Amino acid sequence: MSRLQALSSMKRKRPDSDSPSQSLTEHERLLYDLIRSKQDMAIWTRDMKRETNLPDNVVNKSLKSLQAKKLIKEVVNIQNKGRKHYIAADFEPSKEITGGTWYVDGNLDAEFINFLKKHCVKIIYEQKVVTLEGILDTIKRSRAFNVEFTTQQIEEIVNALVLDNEIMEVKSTGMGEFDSVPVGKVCYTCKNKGGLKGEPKMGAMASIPCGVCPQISLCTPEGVISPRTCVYFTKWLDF
Amino acid sequence: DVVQESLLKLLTARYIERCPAPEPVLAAPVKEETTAKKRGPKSAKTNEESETIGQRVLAAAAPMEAQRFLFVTNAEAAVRGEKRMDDSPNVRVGEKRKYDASELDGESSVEEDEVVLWRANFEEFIRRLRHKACIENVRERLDDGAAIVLRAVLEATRIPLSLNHIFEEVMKSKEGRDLKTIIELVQNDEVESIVLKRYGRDAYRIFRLLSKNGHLVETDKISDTTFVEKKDAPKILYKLWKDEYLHMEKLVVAGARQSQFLLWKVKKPTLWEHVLDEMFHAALNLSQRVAYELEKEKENETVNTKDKSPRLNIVVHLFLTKKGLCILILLILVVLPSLNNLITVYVQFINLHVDKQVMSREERLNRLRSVRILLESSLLKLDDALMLFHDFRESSLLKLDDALLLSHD
Repeated sequence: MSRLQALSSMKRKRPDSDSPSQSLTEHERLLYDLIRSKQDMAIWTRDMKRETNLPDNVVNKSLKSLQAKKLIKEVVNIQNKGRKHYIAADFEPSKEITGGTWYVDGNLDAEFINFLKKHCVKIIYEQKVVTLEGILDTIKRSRAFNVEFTTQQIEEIVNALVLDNEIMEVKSTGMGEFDSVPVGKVCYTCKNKGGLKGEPKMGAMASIPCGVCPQISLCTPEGVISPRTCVYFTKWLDF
Repeated sequence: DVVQESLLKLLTARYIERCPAPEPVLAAPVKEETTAKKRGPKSAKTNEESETIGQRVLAAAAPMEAQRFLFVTNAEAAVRGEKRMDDSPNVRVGEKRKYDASELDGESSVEEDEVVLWRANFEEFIRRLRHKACIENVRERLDDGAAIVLRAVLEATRIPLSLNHIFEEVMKSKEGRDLKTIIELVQNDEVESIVLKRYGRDAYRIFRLLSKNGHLVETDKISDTTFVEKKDAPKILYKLWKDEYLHMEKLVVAGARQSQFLLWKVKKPTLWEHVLDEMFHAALNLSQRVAYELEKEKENETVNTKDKSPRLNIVVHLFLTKKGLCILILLILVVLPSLNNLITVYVQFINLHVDKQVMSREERLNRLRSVRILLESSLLKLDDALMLFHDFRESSLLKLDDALLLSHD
């Protein structure tokens, strides 16, 4: 899957198949050179038209032809998804264009990320206390993924899990359950006792309609929106 | 006498106290040869502090510490006859023991014929509730053992007299800090759970990031760290900012291409005040709704007992048709000038009508009971959270630090 290949963040460079020189028209050559010169940054069609001063239909036709010859490819620029961008076939779009390791076609690969997150939580829960390297190691050995992750990538995932309040980041004391970890090292442990204990404790405010209400600033005792007329209340009190 | 016994019990546990004097007299500071040394220096300090007239009046009005929990049985008062209030009672205020009649004779004093008024000791109540809240939270976070230890610590440090000095020192300073951390954690939990429920999981992560960080973070960095789509992050951030949960700053960089960056931050003191505000609002709403539900029931009762007037019937019939709806609205519009009233009356009318039709009396009463239970228990729970944000604001936490330092001597 090309998705997973992208993760290894190695710039794939095809062996120099620079034989396009024969079959390109003048316009195609012009455009191709321009696109190539942008390297991994890709270029927007409008910019291309501007810089080459070629008429629209010529540009469009040439682009189609180049694409067919597999010399260029279309990429999604995450900053400007509506605009068509093209890049030379032997370059990989840069991080600014794609959005980073976790982006596919301009969107977050939510499925993959969630899967990876759950996997990490499982590892942390099983091992009670584990460092970043420990997690990386376990993943490598489990062969659950056919791609290698960098420490940074796992760190990003784990930090997101901390923000989700599913795990806790702690410093090792070297004692007790931390005895396998050197003192002061950062490691991770599961938040909930027994993992699937259920919903975390909800605040007092969050358990009533007002705490969740998007209109709370508009609500007044005598107003159009008031506790007496509030539909959220009515729904909540509907036994 | 059962009443007296109960009163005494409450008193010794300090749930009630004496009311301050109705007409205080600003006398020269009274010398106190009371009790243990602990009380002495503290009262002396209090006397010195009262600068303004107002403070002095209050200070004079408030019964001296020794007097606050003083209780004398009627029999003893009669026996003692005349003894001035100024005489230092040899009562050890710190003791939780019940009053011994023997101790009183010839030692303590109360004016004859004095009518003593009692009131609830709010300080104590709040103190105990505070402790309870902290203990429960610790129980959640760690385990029951930790909760028990904390409870012991909190109970013990209230009466400095009965504790070992060294033990005290350690416990007090540690307790103060721990208390503060626990409180902050609980406050954070409360606000974070509001954000989660109101704005969603992505917003929850974003909020937690900014809350932990404490400094300004740029939009892109936020979306990267929290794994939120770059196109979604700005929307969420804007919503949070609009509802005053986040602080925003713009940064314009003039370079080859002029670009604008948005930076975001959580400002805790401001936010805590805002949350407190919302909580008061919610508390008001809850109590208003209870009142409304009760009113509704009363109305139902009266409507039921009244004759079904033909006029009402016609109106009801009209109401059920679309045309009738318009006529009804026009009618009300004519009668009541304000739009507000129109809608309120309209909605109330619907509620009345619908409820009346759908449920039997028994069902209605059952519903009302459940409604009351839910609303009132929610209000109690909210009250605890309110205390957390009201009594433990930054300013009062600093005072707590000071108080601990003072009593440490």
